[in-house]
Amino acid sequence: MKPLRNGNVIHDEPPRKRFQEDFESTPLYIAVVTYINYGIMIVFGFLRDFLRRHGFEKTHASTEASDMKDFVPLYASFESFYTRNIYNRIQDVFNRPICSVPGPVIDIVERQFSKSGWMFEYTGKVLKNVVNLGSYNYLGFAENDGPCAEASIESIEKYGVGVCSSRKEMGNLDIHVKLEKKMAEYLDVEACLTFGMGFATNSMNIPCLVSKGCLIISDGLNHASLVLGCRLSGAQIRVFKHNDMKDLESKLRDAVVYGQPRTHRPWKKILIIVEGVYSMEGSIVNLPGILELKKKYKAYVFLDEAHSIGALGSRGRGVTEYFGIHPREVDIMMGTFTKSFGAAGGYIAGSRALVEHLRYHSHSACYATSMSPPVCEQIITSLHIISSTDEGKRRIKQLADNCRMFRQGLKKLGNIVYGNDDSPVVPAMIYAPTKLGAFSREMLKRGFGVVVVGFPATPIAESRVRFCISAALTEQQLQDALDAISDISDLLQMKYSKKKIA
Amino acid sequence: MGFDFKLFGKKPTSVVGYIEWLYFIYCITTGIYMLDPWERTVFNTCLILLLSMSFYTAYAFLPQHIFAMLSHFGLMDT
Repeated sequence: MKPLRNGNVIHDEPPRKRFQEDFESTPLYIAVVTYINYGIMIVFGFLRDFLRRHGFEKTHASTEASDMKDFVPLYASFESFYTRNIYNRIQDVFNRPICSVPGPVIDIVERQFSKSGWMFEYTGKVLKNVVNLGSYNYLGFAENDGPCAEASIESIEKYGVGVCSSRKEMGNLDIHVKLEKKMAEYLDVEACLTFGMGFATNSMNIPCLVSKGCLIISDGLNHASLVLGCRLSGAQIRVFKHNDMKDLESKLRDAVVYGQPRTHRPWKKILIIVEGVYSMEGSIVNLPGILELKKKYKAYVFLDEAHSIGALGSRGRGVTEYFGIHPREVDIMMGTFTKSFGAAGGYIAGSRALVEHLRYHSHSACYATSMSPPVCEQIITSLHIISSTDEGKRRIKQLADNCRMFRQGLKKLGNIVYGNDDSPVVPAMIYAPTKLGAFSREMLKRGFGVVVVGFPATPIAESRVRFCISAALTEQQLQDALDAISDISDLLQMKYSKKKIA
Repeated sequence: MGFDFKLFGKKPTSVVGYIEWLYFIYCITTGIYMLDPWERTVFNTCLILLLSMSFYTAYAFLPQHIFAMLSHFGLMDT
């Protein structure tokens, strides 16, 4: 494969493996079983709602006050029906309270649920040393001792914990300036701006970049923060099929040729919004394809690297390094510090003009409190470890090895696994809601904490379990996890895949 | 809730365990795993009633129906 050429710079990355993404289609019988499950649950849901309405059974859900019974109902949509009758029955697998640092092993507070899952109480016991397969702890920086924690403690002794002001007033500390400089160097861009909350970074900054009269073309599976930001901006939104370059190209062509809807004037700006790694699918964006289209049709690209910064690339610089693309090709790079750096907050990086514009116009920069100093110090120390020490290199390599080993192991077992071979997020399909609850409970009995996701985070018939691989997990723990998953998949008949892996 | 299943993450090999596992898979497939025990009883009762009525009807009336069909299509002497 010939080396990639960007302008006059040739990057000598080793030949990239073929872009390997996998979305095996749902087997027919399990789709039928899933719909049967939902059908029976809906029938019994109606029965229970009938009993509750006519007083045969006590209602625990929220209902309107008795003097408002004749008003338009507040709780009549499918969402509340689903929550009352389907979600609540397996509620013990969601929202489990944790009482330790979210490292490779965690302690979970035990809860005892009543019938139908309406009420629970704490038994007082704590389940210790549950292997953590669900936290976004990609490089293992969620620690309560070590150099990062020591540096954070020193910064608390110097600055305290609260900043007590927004960034524009008195909240611009020297530690923020230092963090932004270090982050800009790490990403190899001109400048960077940081915010206290990752969700707010997307939702509050997209309205500053686009407005009415602009066009946003966003991927179908974008995160809720991006969708909210797009809606708040007032721009026209069009959606292209997930990672499908042909669909994106046809939408771009239509936009350039036909312009705005009624007046046919040209669009002021066209912004393509994609994510680096999609957390529900485990797929990686086809960045070379998108940049080719961007140059051809003169659009801007907004890349949300929430899950990929620190986790992809040989030096942990994200999806641009993974593809061998220079970061200055992407106009706006956004990311969060929550996943790989073990802190909280988000950043937007790009050219100096962009960052200065955002510094003065962004809602988050004007009104939100700036990032807390110990959190900043945690990020600065972890950046230093990732970029300049052997420990960082070891962690990045450990993460890549763990991902590969776990994903291959899971595929060999026969489960359907979505997504790209190199992504640190591994979703395995479960489909039926009963198996969702049973899988999570059985894994907890065996000492593994997993995150299962169903509707509305995923399509209704495609529930899955999402494993997040961490560099802090040892190979032995992952092998034990694979053995447990194998036994439970046999028990629940979850090995749907028709592909034969040697 | 489905807590009354005592399975511990392995497919059982003994005969009694195997039959319990078959019932577990039946509960998972039809969706009654997630229901309360009394709802499960209601569902199982309805299902058994329906199946027994179908089997009785088949036993009592199927030979006559098959006879009538075959003689209508001329494949058998009346």
